[in-house]
Amino acid sequence: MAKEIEIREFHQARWNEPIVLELTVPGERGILVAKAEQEVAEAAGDVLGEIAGVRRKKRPALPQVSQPRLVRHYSRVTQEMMGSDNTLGISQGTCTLKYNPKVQEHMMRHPGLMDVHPLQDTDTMQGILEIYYKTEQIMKELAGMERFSFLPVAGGHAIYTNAQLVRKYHESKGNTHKTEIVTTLHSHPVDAAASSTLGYKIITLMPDEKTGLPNFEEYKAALSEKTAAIFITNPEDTGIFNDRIHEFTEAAHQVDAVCVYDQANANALLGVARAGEAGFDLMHFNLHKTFSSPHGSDGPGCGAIGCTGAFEAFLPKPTVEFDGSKYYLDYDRKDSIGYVKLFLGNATAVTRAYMWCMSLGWEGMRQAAVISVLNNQYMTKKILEKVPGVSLHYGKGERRMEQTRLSFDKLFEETGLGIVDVNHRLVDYGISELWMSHHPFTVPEPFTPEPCESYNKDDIDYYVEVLRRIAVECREDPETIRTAPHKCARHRPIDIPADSTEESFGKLATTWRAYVKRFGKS
Amino acid sequence: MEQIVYPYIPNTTPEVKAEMMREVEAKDEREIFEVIPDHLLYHDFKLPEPILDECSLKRHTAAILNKNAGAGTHLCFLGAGCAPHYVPAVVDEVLGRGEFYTAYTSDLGDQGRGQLQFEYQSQMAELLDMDVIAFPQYDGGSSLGHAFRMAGRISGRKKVLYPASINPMTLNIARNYLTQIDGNYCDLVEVKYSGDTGLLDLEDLAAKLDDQTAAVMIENPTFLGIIEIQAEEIGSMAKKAGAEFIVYGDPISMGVMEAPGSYGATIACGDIHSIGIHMFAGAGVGGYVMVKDDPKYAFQLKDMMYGASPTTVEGEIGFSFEASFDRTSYEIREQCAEYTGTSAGLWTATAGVYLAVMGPAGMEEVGTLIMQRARYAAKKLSAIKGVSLKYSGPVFKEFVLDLTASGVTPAELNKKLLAENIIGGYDLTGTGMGLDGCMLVCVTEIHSKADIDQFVQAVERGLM
Repeated sequence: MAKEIEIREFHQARWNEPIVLELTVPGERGILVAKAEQEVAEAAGDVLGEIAGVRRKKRPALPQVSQPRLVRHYSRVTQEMMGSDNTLGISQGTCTLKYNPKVQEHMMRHPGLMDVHPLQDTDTMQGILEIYYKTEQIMKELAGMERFSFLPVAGGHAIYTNAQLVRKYHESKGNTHKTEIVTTLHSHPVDAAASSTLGYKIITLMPDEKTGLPNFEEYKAALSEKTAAIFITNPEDTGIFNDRIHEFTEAAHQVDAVCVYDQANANALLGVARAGEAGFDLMHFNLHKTFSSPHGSDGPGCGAIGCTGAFEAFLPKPTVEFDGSKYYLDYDRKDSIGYVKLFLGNATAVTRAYMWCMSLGWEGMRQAAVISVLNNQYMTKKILEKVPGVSLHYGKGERRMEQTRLSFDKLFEETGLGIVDVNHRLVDYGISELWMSHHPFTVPEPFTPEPCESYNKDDIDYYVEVLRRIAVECREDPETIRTAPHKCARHRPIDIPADSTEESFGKLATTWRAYVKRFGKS
Repeated sequence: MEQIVYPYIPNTTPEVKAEMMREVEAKDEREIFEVIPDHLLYHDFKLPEPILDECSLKRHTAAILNKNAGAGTHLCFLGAGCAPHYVPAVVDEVLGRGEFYTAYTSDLGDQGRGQLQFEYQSQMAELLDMDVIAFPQYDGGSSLGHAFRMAGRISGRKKVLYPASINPMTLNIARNYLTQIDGNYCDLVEVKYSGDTGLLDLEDLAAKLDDQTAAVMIENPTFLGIIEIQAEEIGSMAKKAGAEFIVYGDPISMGVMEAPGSYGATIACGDIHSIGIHMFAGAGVGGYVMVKDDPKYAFQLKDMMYGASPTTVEGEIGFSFEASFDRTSYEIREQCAEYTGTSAGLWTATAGVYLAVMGPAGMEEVGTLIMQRARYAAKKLSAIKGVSLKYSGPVFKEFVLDLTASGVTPAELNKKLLAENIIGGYDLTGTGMGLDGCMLVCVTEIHSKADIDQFVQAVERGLM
């Protein structure tokens, strides 16, 4: 007998805190700063006098606020957020908002991490290097790759770095004719964008209407002598797995193209299948998705890149090496693409990933994949059964992996309300907005939930029930939907320009000074 | 084998898992993955045995991290783009808020995050006297690469001039970012600096500045620590040639140093590490690029932007990160000018908290204090036999010591300092800057007179 699901009453904190600059009471202080010791001040002399030409004439108009008021301000402002610590991160498909274990966060404050300068003598940072080295061994095994670099600090950064590796590889072979990159529409758009930033011409394969996957014949036709690489996600953003992936990589290799796997989100395949067996030469994992490092309100993360032996020499500098007794940094790499990141990348993300892997082992990581896929298959079934107005467009009857691209098309046809409206209402239930789809949309009114392994059956049932309620509201109480949100910290901003024209610039306020100029003070 | 219920994976509870398997009509785990062909499955992962209990895991990790030294255990005078600065407790408090660090892409649900980022952006505008800012870049190096590309697009020219005293690590990243399959996005041309003062050589600048120049870029303070007091003049020269003026600045200096926007910068960039971010072995860095209130510049920013506007309720302000979204690679894929993605939001928000805690007085005081202590240290150290200051120009927090007359190399000295629990300066030997035998020393607000005196004495002993 199915449990009746009771939806909890929710209201987000709503403090209406002014912008911190508006809290100023002239003369108030948030902190006091030490004064130079008398002897220091005397020896130093008139330090400001000597820089007259560039001495600041007017103090910056920063806030002047006491410490207790500031703390209240920040406590209130942070209450007006929906991190995965206080809500279901199921909405944000492809992003894998999994639980960020607290023991890892506590370790971030260890002085052997927090207070380490990256340019210290490597003798004094053997612990950091040991974590990098050991994490590399784990990642190599998980990906079936021969080397890893943790220098890129984001998924896009990893793709950019992999594109540089592709460029260098072909340069080393004298392949000046390799100017094109093939990707698919359902791969992350940064696969196309980071490659084009290097000057590559992008060929994008549209999905087959029935399967949602790229058509193999069209793919083969897109490959040519000019193809430098393929950049591809699998399972794609739609949650559909391309079971012919090995044929794709073989066909690319036949034209001497590099196969690059965007595995930012590897949650479906961790401990199950590897990039190596699928024939990829380069790949990356996002440690802030798959390996539990928090998203941090948009980074920093880590896009760990893996490569086969043929690409090792080109990896960015430095690499972390072990000579049997000591760990060291290797900067002496003459064929390297050079430097892509200051220092060592994001040691905090690497340390968290190390702890996460060590807490689970192979079986635990495999269970993370099994449960995230099971959760998604269960949730997809329940949404299609229970939420009126939802449909599945391609790959019908086929099991999805860790996420599913769904559509509120029927809801929109029946009510004139679609995914954007649903999203405005979803926050009234204490759940963050659904991620829709990358652009351009290939199904109408798209949405893509991802119930990763951190959520249990009750969480998923609750989530589906909220979606059902909203779909019912769209029919029975459309006004509530149209005027939503009602229960979150702020209402909908109405004048944020979506485009980049001279006219819309008159509404673009990224700073308070611009806001005051454009809208006046409220 | 005992079935483990993993604390981070609630549905590993056997009963629930079995029920869900029934619901999805899968008889076993293989069936869940039925779309994956056999030949792609892998069954032989050789991974370390897990440390299942949290207590042991914490001890295991701490034991590894205990092998590191750092500013927590040693006196640290190492800078070069990362430095031990004081992070106020309020900043750490916000950094530790779970609803903040676990947030990501909710726009309406995360209005508080929008406010934090908007406040960072707004305060940076006041500190730098600029008007428009987008999401951060990965670090100062990537912000510089972005600034170069922007200047190239805005001016329609390709040549960018940069000072020979530039941080080689930052330059390397920018250089990589300009490298394309069909040549460089911009051509980098070095401008000399004075071997006496450390300031830019204006004659050399004049000689290299022409109608093909996209931008003149300076660091202020420079990598070698010098405050570029000719900044305004350099900006005027750039403007006359129709070039952009890019200033790479250190925000913690801007309470005492003039805002780049007030001396002619058309593009300001740099790293926010110094304002409220721990070193974290180099993870504590993030880039900024700012421009004036002009669409010609603003729409060349590559990253998403947090905008603010009135909401549907009178008197209320709301936030969205989709401001001018149609510039970004999220919307227009390869049609964008440069790609974007996740960057360093955790650090920008906390840098905003730092600026609010410090306020105008705090920023002026901390800047003054750093200058005084750096000057004191420079005087004391250069009084040691065999040690001299390489440049006579005024310094902010770093300065170059020339050790060549002592016969001791910076590397040798640093080994001896380490034996006294001191992390010495950055060895400029082998950087290709012609500064072999020199050391870049960094002094910040955390270094008391006693710390500096201890350092000076240790250097004296080390050179004996």
